[in-house]
Amino acid sequence: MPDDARGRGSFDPMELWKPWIEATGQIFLAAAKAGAEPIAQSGEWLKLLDEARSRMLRDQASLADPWTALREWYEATTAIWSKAAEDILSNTAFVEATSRLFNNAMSQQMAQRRSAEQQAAALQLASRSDVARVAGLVVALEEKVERIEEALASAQEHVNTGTSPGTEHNLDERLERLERKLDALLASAEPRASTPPERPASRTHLAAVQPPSEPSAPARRRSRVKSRGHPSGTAS
Amino acid sequence: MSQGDSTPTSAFQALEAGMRMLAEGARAETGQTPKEVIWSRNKARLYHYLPVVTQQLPVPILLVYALINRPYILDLMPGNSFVEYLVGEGFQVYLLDWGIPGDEDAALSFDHYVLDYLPAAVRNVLRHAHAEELTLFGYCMGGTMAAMYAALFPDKPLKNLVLLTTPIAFPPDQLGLLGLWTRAEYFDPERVIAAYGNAPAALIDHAMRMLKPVTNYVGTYVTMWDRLRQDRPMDTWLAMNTWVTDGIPMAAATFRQWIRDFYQRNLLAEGELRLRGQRVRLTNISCPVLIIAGKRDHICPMPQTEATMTLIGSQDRTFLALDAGHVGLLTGSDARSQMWPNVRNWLLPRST
Repeated sequence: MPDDARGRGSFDPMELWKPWIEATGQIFLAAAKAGAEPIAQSGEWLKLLDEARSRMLRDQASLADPWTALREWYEATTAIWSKAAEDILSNTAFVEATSRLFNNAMSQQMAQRRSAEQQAAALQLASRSDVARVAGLVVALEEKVERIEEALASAQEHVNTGTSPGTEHNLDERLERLERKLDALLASAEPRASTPPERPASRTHLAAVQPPSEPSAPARRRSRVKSRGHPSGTAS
Repeated sequence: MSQGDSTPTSAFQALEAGMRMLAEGARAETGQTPKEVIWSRNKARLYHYLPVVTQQLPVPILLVYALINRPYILDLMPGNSFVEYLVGEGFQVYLLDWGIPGDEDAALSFDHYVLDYLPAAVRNVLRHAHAEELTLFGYCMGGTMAAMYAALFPDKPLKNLVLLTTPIAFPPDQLGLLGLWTRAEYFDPERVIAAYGNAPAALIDHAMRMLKPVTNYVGTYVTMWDRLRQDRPMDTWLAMNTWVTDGIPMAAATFRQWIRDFYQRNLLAEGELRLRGQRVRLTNISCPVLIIAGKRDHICPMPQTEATMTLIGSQDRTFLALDAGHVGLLTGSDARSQMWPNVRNWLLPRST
């Protein structure tokens, strides 16, 4: 930056400082009116004021460039402005007042919305809610199509894996019933022992007396499951 | 424009560029990682990000974002994209974009999102990835929905759950400014619904900005002018500003639930939240869970995420607190060196 630019069009930082102090004082006063504790805050605020002033005056050469001056001013004061904003926004009296304002604004908006609907109806024009109703019908139709797509995809998956929903569970049950019947048949076909068993033959008991070459019921079931994927497969 | 050059021509160019940005609004190309739509329902789209490595991990990740703002914050721009990073690390990545609700969607609530949309998205992810299990990754309110899903469907196919800056608990005295403003005596969501139907994007946007008004309304533009004056790259600023100003409305029924059941009554953490009559018990969550919180997060303060550790039933649970804010956790140079590798390192052994 040329040397002669420092004095040309420059401003006195103290002149810039005065309105800032006034604005800060007003914030301080508003905080006090809102019920904050000004005495507790004043010490901290004065410290921040002093720090901001020192920062601004540290490099007076940069203040000749308006943008740099503004940026320095922002850097110096952002902390105190942020704190002031946070103090106000977290003050319950402020929130209560804002809440009332907000509710009034919502009431007005509600009236406006109702009025717009009525005007559209009077002019025989489609209103926002009419368009939404039609869009809702389209969405419902789309969901029906998606349900069909999902059912098709699910059916395709089961075809690919050779099962259908619930088939596996049903097959197992039916196989168990068949095996019980077969076991009962085998038991009745076998020669009777000298001392009849005191309790009905259990599958465990039958499994113990089966000839070794005969596969056990679980083994028979496993072999049937393995051959399930082959239409012409048979139990080994 | 060269750095520090204060000649009238360069200053004027910076001024011109800045004024154009203010007048036209920030515009940037975002969400650039190649993707395809594999499923859609109503406004929601399920994206699959195209792989860049041949060997991929078998457990896919389904990213679930919030119902506030657009989800491309997860894929902000090349070189600053969490999605791009995960894809590069060999994960199969999917993202559920909820879309922009219209007036016809006013009745959509968490019941629909958690009990209808999420399960359908999960089914389609598994079908597309030919997988039996998946990782749910929820960000912000998306994490809240992911946690509710995990509580209601704790078994397979859910393998892992990652919750990033996710509000689960809403203790009245630890919610910050949002908690104060949404108190029942100050805020009735029914008034907004009666006035607007769906909660307007502008209302939600301004509420978020007023949490730090000086930074959001002034500081952002001070940074913009500063970068223009110093001839520094503007793409990150533009991408972030595009996202910040790209808010979406929230369906009326969801807005009512979010304010009443979560902020005002804290039903989820109390175990009293019901979706279609089903009680959502976070203790049912049994899969491995990674919870990430930001120490400087003023939108979802740490107590809201920290409480998750004591509410879930998982044995394998990890809490990670990083020195970042709500969005800074996910994007930027700090995110690249902290959050991203932490997520990868946690997920890798749990995705085989």
